[in-house]
Amino acid sequence: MARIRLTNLRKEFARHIVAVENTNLTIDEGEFVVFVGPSGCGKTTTLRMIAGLEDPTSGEIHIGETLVNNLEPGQRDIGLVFQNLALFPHMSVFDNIGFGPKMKKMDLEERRQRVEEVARMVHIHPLLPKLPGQLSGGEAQRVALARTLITQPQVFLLDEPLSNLDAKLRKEMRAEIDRLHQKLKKTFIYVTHDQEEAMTLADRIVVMRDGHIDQVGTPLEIYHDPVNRFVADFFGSPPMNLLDGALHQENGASAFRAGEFNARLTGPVPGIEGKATLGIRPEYIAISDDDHADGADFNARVALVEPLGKDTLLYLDYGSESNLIAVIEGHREIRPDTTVGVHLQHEKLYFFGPDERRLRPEGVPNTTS
Amino acid sequence: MQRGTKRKFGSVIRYALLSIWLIISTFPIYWMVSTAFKLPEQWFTWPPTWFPTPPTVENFAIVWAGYGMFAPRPGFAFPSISLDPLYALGNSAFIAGSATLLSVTIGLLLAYGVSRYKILPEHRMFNLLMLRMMPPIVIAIPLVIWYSTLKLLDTWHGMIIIYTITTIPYAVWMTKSFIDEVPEEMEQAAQLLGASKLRAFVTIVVPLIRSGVVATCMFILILTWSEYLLGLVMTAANAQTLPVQLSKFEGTQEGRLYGLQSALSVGVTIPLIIIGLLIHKHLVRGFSFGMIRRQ
Repeated sequence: MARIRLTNLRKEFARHIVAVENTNLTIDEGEFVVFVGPSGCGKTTTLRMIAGLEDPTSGEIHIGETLVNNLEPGQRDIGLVFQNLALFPHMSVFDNIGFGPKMKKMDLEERRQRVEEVARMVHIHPLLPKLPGQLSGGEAQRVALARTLITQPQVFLLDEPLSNLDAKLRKEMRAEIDRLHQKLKKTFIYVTHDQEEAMTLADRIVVMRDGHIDQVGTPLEIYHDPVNRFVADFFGSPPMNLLDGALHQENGASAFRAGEFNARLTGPVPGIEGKATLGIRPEYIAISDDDHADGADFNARVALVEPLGKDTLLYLDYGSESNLIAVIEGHREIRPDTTVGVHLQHEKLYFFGPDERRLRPEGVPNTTS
Repeated sequence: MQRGTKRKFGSVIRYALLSIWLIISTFPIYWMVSTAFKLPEQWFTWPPTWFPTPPTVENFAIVWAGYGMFAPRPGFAFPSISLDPLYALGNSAFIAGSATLLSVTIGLLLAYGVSRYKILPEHRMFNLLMLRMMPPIVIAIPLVIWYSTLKLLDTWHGMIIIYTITTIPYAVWMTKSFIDEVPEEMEQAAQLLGASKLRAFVTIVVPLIRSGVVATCMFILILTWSEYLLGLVMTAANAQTLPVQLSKFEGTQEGRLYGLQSALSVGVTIPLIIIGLLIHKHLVRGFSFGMIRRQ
């Protein structure tokens, strides 16, 4: 059993700097959980507490049914891949991978077999006699994985393992890690600040900020039902458009005004008035070439066109400092500086209060907590 | 001027300056070695005798083999002082060797504590070095009084203790910089793979800083091997070290016995050179910090 339970976890560093507080989380056996958040949010500290490299100031950590607070890192049946990999530079790849079994006093012949087996699993068999200094970034990454795999831990902890790789290699290794998880069916906890990595790998995402958990949910829940402005802003590329303005009543209907921008709202709307932030993802904005098209919510000037091949990004100037970003499929002949009609999908609008919390329309239940 | 010519000109200047510096810095060594092979009448001549003609080994024979064994030529100077360079060499080797090993061992453990557990805050580390800024003569007299009460004057263990204590600050500072270079994650990785803290230290940290530790040993060995002042005031016949004996060739009675002194100096220097050559691979790596490649 390798279910992990964090109860009221808190970590304070010297001079009362609180890194993690009030953290409660249960991670099921075999689950792939990703801790994500900006740097300094406490995700790595939480991981290190689970690993036993950092002692919690208060709170409990259970792995399975065992309270592990007082167990040494080596006794917790976990494997950790460090951000800087921490391969032993004076040992060959073989000795690096064989280090764990050697500590467990496995004899040389058996150890050789195990090392070769694991090395084949991550495709680094020819590298065994080399030293870590002779490896490329991707190879070193695989060695670090193999060194952890060989001890067959119940829980794998990965601390931003791909951050030092270039984009192409990162995607490749991401797929490799995903494949390993499916094959081993062990619990994986993965720390990253990259929302794309989180979305693609996770069964469940834990969004952290300033030492506490903002939201826990599946990637789709996080994407479609963010609990606050921060989560909404963090996920998605290009990010969600956020317009600071105010909700008000206009001729008996709800409307949202931000600078020159003023739109009547036809979808579900929170039943309040006053300062608010409107959010809409770029893919829920449509464009009509003709600025007098019927039903356009408002008109905007096209500031910039970025063709990406499959899609086109439009930066729309609606009379505010920031632009509204829209993604439209395919390539459309739109020239900068023309005026277009902008259509928002009103049922896909989000509203956030001045305290950044999501303002939910009446009658729409809160699906995640 | 063309770029190529300019560059060539620059390198000529550079090598010229380096050559001058080389001559200035190696001349004293040449003079010591050549004087050691000179006959007494060539010690003081003006203009100087650049090459010993004919070279003689009598200085070495007198100093190192005892002056009774050879029948020196008439007019050859005899030291009227009691000398036993071989005994002093043994003293020096034992005292400096033991003090170096002790100092680096203790220093390494302290440095590990400072680097990993912050047992000394940064300003305390400076205090540690400040202790060494004090001129040794200031503590020499109190130390002699203290040592005479403790019955440590003119003993091997007394000298080992004082040399260990006075060199520990250097040992801590140097080894700490090497330990700092080893990412803590490496030890943590070893621990997560089932190694104890001690095992992680011995199998991961020690091999990685080996060159640095060897360089530190060499540095401290040179310090203690050539230490003069404390040796002079705290030893007599029993625990006298070579540098102290080296000073006895100039005085009102014996005059200035340059040739003999040089012959002894050569003997004092050679062991360090041999050790240096044996471990030069480590020295190059140890003194050029940043030997560990970070991934």
